[in-house]
Amino acid sequence: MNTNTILVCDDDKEIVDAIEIYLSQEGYQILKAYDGLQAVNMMEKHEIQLLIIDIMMPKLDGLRATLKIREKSSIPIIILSAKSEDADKILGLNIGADDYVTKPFNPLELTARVKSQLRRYTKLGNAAEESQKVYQTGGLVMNDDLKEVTVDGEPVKLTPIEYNILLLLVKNQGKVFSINQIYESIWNEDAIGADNTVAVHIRHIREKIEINAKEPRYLKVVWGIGYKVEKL
Amino acid sequence: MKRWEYSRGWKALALILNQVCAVVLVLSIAVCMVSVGNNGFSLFREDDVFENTAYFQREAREQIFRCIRAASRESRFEKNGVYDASLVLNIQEYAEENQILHTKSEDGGLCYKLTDLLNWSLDGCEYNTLLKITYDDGRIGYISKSSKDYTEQAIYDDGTAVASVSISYDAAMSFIEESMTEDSDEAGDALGEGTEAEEIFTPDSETAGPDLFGEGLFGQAVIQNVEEIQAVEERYAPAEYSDIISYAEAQRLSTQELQDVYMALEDVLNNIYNDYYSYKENLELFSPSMTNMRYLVLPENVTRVTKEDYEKKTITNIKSFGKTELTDRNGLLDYIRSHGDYLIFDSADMSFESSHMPVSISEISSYLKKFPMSVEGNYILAVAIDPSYVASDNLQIYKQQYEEIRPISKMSVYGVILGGILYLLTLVYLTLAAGRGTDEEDRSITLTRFDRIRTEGAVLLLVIPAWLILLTGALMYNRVNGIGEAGVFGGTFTFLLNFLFLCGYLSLVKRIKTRTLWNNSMLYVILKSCYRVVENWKVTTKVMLSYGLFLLVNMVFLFFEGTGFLLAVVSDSAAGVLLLWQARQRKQVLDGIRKISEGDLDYQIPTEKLSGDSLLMAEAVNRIGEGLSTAVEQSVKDERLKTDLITNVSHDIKTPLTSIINYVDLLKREDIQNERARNYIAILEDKSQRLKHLTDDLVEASKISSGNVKLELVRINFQELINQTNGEFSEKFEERELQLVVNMPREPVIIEADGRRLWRIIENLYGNVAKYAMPRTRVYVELTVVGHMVRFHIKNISEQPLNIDAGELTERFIRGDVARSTEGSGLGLSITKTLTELQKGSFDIYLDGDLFKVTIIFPEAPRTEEVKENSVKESAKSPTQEEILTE
Repeated sequence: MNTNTILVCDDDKEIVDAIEIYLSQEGYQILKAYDGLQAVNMMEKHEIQLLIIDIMMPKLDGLRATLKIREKSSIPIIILSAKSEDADKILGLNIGADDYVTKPFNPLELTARVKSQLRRYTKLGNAAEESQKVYQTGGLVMNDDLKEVTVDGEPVKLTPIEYNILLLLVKNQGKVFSINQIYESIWNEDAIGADNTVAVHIRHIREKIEINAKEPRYLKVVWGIGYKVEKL
Repeated sequence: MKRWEYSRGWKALALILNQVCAVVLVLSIAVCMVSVGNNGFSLFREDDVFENTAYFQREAREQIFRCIRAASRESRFEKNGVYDASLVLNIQEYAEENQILHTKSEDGGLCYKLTDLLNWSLDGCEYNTLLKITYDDGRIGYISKSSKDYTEQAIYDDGTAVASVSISYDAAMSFIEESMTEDSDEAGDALGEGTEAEEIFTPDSETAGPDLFGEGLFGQAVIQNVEEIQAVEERYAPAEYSDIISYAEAQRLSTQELQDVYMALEDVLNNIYNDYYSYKENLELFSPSMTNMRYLVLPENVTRVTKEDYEKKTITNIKSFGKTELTDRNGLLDYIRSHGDYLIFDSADMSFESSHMPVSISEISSYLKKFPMSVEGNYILAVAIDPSYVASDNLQIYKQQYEEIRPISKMSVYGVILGGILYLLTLVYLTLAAGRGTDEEDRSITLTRFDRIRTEGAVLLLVIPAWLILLTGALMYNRVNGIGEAGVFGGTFTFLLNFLFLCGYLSLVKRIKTRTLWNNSMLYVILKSCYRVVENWKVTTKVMLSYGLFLLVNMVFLFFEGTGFLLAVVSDSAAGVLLLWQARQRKQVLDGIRKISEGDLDYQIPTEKLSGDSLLMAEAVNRIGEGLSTAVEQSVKDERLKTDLITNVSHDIKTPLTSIINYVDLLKREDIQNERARNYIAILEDKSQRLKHLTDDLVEASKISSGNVKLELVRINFQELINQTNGEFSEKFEERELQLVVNMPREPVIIEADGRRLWRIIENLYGNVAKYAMPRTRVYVELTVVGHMVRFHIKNISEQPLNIDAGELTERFIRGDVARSTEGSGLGLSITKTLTELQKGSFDIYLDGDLFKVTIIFPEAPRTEEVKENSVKESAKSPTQEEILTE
């Protein structure tokens, strides 16, 4: 089961090698390519479950390669690039990539993202659970019956207050809650000169459910307004 | 592709064609003018003959009258066909133009020898006054002024002269004067008084000669009358008399008759030489070799024409009659008729017969009254033209010209049309082609050296030769003989003049094409230099001068009252309008300056409607604006380039950095027993992480400072943001045992800002505190609303002594610790400040010992949406509470 094949494509051989080391430790099978053309060719020859691809490469750059691969395949694609501008990220995600990791990357984060993508691709897929008490956004699933929270299938342990805050936000996906609103909902009392209690809890939740707390996928901070859980 | 139509060959061809056409055109026009109409040969009438042309008619008419004059003179100076100087001439008959020469004086008229009269006339006649004195005893005496004394003869009634009486001219004159006064006084017969005469005629021994006076035989005679006669001083004696007085006494002429004789003499003397001269001249001019005109005056007494009769009795310039047999008058007239062009006039019955002769009978008869024929009785006058035109007179010339022009006259019409059209066509072509080359691309005008000469100079260069040519033409015009010569002459002049015209015209065209006609003229240079002089005057000089002029004009106008006052009003209003106009221009310039100074660097003052100093000012301001705007653009561009460079460099750094971080991480995972090696790896990891931050900050800082960021401004609750930040940083602060003291108003504080950028600002400040604040101290955060401004304070105690200037802290790469031992790029405060200012806020750092204080001020957002925000809050609140409750 755990012999998923991952294609790593980067013109920097050392980076490819390092990634190979990290990912093979997790038991994945690694294929290596050093330019976009090679990656496209290998996609046709081998059965590959996930692609990690750099943008700036000779022959065929990562964006074009992604476009080409997306014509035939729906496997998860993670772009790994030194381009860290918002515009670059938006472009990458828009043309079909599933995730965008900037260089220099944290190996653990990359591994976590790879795992997350693979889980969603292989296990969850379109397996929608029937229960009414289950709330889901992206890989985040909350089962209110069991008081269970999973991210990409991995269980996450939350304190009761954290659980209630997250549940509030997940139930009202996309809606922004100010600190006071959250406080009043959870503690059920007036927020007089609300302090940073809620904010601290939110940060804790983020650290637990997010791969990178500074670039949250689910629980987002709307600065100066409040918090929300993104509808994915 | 070459434009063959402008090649040199075509141009040269057109030039030559144009010249040829000009010559053809001018000559054809000349021929046409000669050929057409009442003044010319009227050649375009098919059935025409020379005799119908205006040239012939004018000349023939003139010649006919000349013939009549010549015949008239000949008839007066010749007797029996010859001139005889010894013949005598009756002056009274001559004066009446009715004379016939005589061999001796006849019928008592006063006659002179022809020679005497001619010499006298040549010398000129002098006038004299003659007094006729009548005495009471019947004697008559004459006395003339020039004779000083007297010439008197006493003549009795029986005709015998008795004695002479002396009387001075002056005495006789005084008698006339006296008698005239007495006449007017008394109107009586004063002259009858003998006493007066006695007194007057008292012999005066002094004035009169004693001899003569002593001879006075008939005592005291009394003057009855003295008459004044205008006389001619006699140089020659008349035939048969010693002088005119003796003639008068002999003929017993009355005073009036004597006066008539003198007048006739005077008339004769004034004219006879000229008449004689004309007669002599005519003899030559009307000789058959000189003229083709023939005239004949045939008196009626010539019935049978013998050769002798003919020579003696007719007046003619016909010397021979060719083969014609002349037997009688009719034969002679038939000969005349055989000429073709003739007229015959009979003075007896006034009959008139004419062929082609352009005169009427009335003209002939009236002319004959002025120049009568001095023949006895009636006569026949005949004038004819020799049809062979052998003599070289004007008629012959006209005839020749007629014959020459006749064949080419029809051609000249085509010459005019064709020459004209071709001339215009070539001229149009040359106009288009002037200065153009064959090169398709090159549309410029080629100028010759002549085209660069100043316009006036070029005009002179052409006008002077043209003038010289015209002058030469005028001088040579009269020397031209014949059609051929005239053609060559006219052609040459046309050619030269057209050449000059083409030079000038084509140069003009080129000058117009290159727009140098005016710019290259002397006048332009002069005007421009004048303008420059005025332009370079000081502004004050200009103003003073124009003001002075204004005052002067006003004074002059006010000097004249009435209309002057009106004029002054008009001129003052004009000055007012001018000032207003200038003020408006100045306002435009000022507006432009204001706009530019307000930051609209791309603004250009419209200069189309400006002039003078305002224009100069506007242009200068526009240049300053342009300079500023390019400078700003340049600096923005430079900054952007720098950002791009930094971004690219940071990308290039990041790739190897990735490997470093990864392999350091891999090293860390190796089971390394050596404690020191593990320590080294830890340092490597730390520093590589710092390098990563540095590159990120660097990119962000340069991006922000170049203005390369897009802000998404929304209404933000500042308190919410501070609370969120507090949450984010709570653990970091706890780590360093920093106690956060927050002071905020209860009311929400709303500002308009980009949430993520504002978070970046606050995060930076909190991060600074977390990094540099002295552990176990308090950190004060304060939010206040002052007026419409929102003020944010953060204060802490620095761990390190802050020995630098507050302003320097926001410079890039400046950090509180000079040693740079702690983490941080040194860009944080710089980024923060720039971001604040981008969002229309102000950023200020205050240092006092170890106290580090940052103040940020933002304008408060208008509170219009507060209600809406509350309603959002409500709606968000209600379901959640229910949710909680159900739980």
